[in-house]
Amino acid sequence: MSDETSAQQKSGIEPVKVLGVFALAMINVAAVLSIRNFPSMAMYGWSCIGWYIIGTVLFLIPLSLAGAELATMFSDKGGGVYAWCREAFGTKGGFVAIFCEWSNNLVWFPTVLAFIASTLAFAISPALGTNAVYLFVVMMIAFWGTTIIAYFGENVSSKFQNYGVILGSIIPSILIIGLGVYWGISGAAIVLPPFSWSQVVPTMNLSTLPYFATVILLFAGMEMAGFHALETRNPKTDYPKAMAISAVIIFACTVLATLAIAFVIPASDINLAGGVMQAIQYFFDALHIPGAVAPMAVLITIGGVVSLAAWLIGPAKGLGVVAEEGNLPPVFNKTNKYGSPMAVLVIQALIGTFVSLLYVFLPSVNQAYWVLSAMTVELLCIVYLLVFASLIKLRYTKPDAPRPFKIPGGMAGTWIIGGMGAFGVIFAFVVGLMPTGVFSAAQTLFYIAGVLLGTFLLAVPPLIFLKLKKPSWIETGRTGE
Amino acid sequence: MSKTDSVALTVLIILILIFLVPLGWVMIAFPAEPYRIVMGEPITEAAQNAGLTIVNATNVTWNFPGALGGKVYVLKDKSGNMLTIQTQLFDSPESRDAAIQAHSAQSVGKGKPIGTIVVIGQEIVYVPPDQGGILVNLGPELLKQKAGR
Repeated sequence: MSDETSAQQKSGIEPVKVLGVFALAMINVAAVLSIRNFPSMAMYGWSCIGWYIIGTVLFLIPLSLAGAELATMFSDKGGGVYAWCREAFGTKGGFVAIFCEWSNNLVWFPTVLAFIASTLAFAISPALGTNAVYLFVVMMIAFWGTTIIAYFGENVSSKFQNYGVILGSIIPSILIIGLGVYWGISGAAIVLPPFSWSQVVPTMNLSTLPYFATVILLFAGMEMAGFHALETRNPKTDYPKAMAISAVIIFACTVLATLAIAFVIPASDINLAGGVMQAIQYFFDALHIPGAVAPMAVLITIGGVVSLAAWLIGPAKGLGVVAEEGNLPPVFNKTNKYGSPMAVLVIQALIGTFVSLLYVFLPSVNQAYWVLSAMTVELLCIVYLLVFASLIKLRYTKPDAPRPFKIPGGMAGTWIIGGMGAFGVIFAFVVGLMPTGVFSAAQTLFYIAGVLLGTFLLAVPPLIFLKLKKPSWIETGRTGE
Repeated sequence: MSKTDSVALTVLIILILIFLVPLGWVMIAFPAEPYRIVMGEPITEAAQNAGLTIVNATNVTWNFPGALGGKVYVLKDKSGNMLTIQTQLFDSPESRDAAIQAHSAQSVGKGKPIGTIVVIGQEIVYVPPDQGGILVNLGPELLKQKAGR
C-alpha cells in the first residue's frame, strides 16, 4: 500500500472512483485544446502543418505514450507527475517536477484569466475589455469560482469539465472546422497560396527558433489525467484509451481549425494584438454570420474556464500529495471531506490573485509579462525532461514492475520515445532563452540572465523545503468538516 | 511562536519571495513605456534608417476599443526578405494597455504569445514572427524611436 493511500485511509478519506475513459480523456482535452492557439498558428499558413507535426512527433506522441505507461504503472499512487518522478529520482526529483509545474501555473493563470474576461466582454460589450476593474473582477470570479469547484472534489469537477470542454472547446473547434469546409466548397477564395509540400516546411532561422519552444509546449498538459489516478475506476485499462482518444481529438481539432482560419483570414489581417475574438469576428463576418460572434464568445469563455480548471486542480493535487507525505509543513496538509487539498488550493488562489492584481493594474508588469511567460516556459521544459527521464530510468531500476501499458519496442522503443521527448524539451529550453522582443545586445544578455535566474528561483524551493523538513510533518490532514 | 510555526512561516515567505523577485526584476529591467502622443511615423523613419524599403503602407483600424488607426507596413530588405508589421495608435493609456493584455492573453499553449509588441508612446507596433531576419536591423532603430530619438 502506498504511503499516500494509507494516509488517506487513516484519515477516513477514501478516494471516490468516479472517472472513466471519457472523463480522463476530457481532462486532457480541457488542458490542451485551446481556441487561443488557432489564430496564432494560422499566421504561419501552410507551414502550421509543419510546426504541428514537429510538436506532435517531438512532444505529443512521446508525452502521451510516456504518460500512459507511467500512469498505469503507478495507478495506485496519487500525485501524477510527482509520483512518477519520485519513483525514478526520489523525493527531490518528484518535488522539483511538481513544483515547477505548479509555479508555471501561477504565472500562466493571469493570462488565461484575462483571456476569459476579455472574451466575455466581447459577448457583452467589447469596450468592457479596456476597463481594468471589470477585467479584475471577472478574473477573480473565474479564478475563485474554479477553486470552489475544485473544493467539491473529483465528482463535481469532472462533471464540470466533461460538459465544459464539449461546450467550450470541442463544439467551437468543430464549428470553425465546419465553416472552413463550407468556405472551401462554396467556391470562396482561399487566401492561402496553392498547396505545395515545400510550404509545409517551417522556416527555421535565428528569428523563428524561439517559437520552437512555444510550439513544442503547445501540447503541454497531456499528463493532466495522471493526477487523478486514485479517482479512476479502472486505471490500468482506462488510461491508455483516454490518452489515445484525447491525443487524436486534440491533434485533429487543432490542425483542422487552424487551417480553417488560415483559409479565410489573410495572415496580415490576423491581428494578434487585437485578440482571438477579433480574428473570430473577421472569420464570421467573412462568412456573413456576424450574429454568431457573441454566442461563440460565450462558448470560448467556457472553454477558457474549463482549461483553467484542469490546470488549477491537477498540479494542486500533486502538491497536496507532497504535503501528505510530510515534505511540506502541516499547514499545507489540509484535505477536506471531498479529498481536495484545500490548503494548497487556497495558497494557490491567494498567490494567483496577487499576481493577477499586478498584471491588471501595473503597466510595467503588463507590458513585460511575456518575459515572465518566457521564464515559465523553461520551468515546463524541466518538468517534461524529468518525466521522459523517469520513463527511461524506471525501465532500468524497476524492469519487472507491472506495466499494464508498455511502450512497444522494448528498451529501444523506450529510448526512442523518451529520447525524442527529451530532445524536444531540451532544445525548447535552449531556444526558449532566445528573446523574441526588440532588445539591444546588452539587454539581450540581461534578459537571458534574468530568465535563467528566475527559472532557478522558481525551481529550487523544493530543495530548501526538504532541508527544512521535520519528522513531525508526516501527519494526515483533514478539516473540521 | 513554536519552531514548527516558524518553519511554516519561512516556507510561506519563500513562496511569496520566489514570485516577488522575478516580478520585481521585470518591473525594474523593463520599465513601462509612458503613454505619450506620437508625432510623425516612427516605423517609416526606423525602416529608412535600417536600410529597408517600404513596399506598401495601408491604413488599418483594429477592431479594438480605443483604437485610433494605424498602418500595415510591408518591409523588404536588400536580400528580398519581407516582413509585415502593424501599428496602431490608442486614445488612452487604458485602451493601449488593454490591447497589450490582449496580446499577452494570446499565449500559445502554456508558452509565450506569437510575435512581439513594441510600445512607442500611444502606439503599439505588432511584429509577427520574423522569418526573414529583418528585425535584426529594424530592432535597434525601433528602440531609438522608443527612446524618442
